[in-house]
Amino acid sequence: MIRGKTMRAAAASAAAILLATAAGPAAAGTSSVLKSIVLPGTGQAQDGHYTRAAIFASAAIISWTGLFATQINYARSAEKYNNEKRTYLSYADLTAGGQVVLQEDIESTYAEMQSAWDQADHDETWRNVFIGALVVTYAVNIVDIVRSKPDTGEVAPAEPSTSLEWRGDGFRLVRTVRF
Amino acid sequence: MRFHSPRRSVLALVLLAGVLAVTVGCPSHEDFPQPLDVTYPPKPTSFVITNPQNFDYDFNWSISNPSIVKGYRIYLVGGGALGGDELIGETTSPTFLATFPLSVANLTFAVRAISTDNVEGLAAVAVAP
Repeated sequence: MIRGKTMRAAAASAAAILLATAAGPAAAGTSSVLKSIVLPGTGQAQDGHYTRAAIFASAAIISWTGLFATQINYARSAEKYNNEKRTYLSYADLTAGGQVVLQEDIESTYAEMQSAWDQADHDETWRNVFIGALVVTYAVNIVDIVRSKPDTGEVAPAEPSTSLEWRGDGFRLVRTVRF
Repeated sequence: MRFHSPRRSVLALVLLAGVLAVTVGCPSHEDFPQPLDVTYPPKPTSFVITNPQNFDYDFNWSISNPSIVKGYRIYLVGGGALGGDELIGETTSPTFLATFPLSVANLTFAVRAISTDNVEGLAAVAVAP
């Protein structure tokens, strides 16, 4: 089960990108597209676009690293919140069962639970930022590799230069062709 | 879509496993609970300790809303194990008579009310004469 709107949106985006890439016609080679799906930038590197390759690879590595780091933080704070919540709700069962519970314990647990909730909210926001960054990186990367052509190293021939020269009674069009 | 070499397939599977680990198995924080529906007892007031004779001590206090209080607990502050409070006794009325085997002069005592919802409230403290 995938929990949360952000998670579902990210999973759906990733699936859409993969499907679009798999189904759509590719200007670049299939091999470079697959490489870019695995790690953004590698397909561009194979096609000779090294600057774009460096940009996409850096963005992907930063996004993945940030995502895992923030996910670990979020998992910890969410677990802490769930523990505090479990303790807090257990007071209702204890008092209903006839056991006396200190008011200070109930209030301090509530404060801890509130604090853990706020921290989890904060950590979740940062986790979602990195999910968004990762989705955008992959999406732009896939679009780029699908639309780009391999850099063969050939230099396009220069356009023939054309100039216009004014004469006393008119003008002369001069086109220079180099061999 | 096919991966042609085993190394690339492994890499893709690792990537997929990472995505699944992130999206599927993570704990989340949802449904902040409503405050518990329990009644907190009022804090006792005017808590005084008198020493009518020898080692007998009278504990008296007032309570603002006795209808939601089902009893009281009296503690010797700092008298328990590990420095905690030691329970001296329980009563259902706002008075308590205790006889100690020795003088408890200058020792601090506390009284807490217990609500009908079994919540033990805040303590009122007094020093024995």
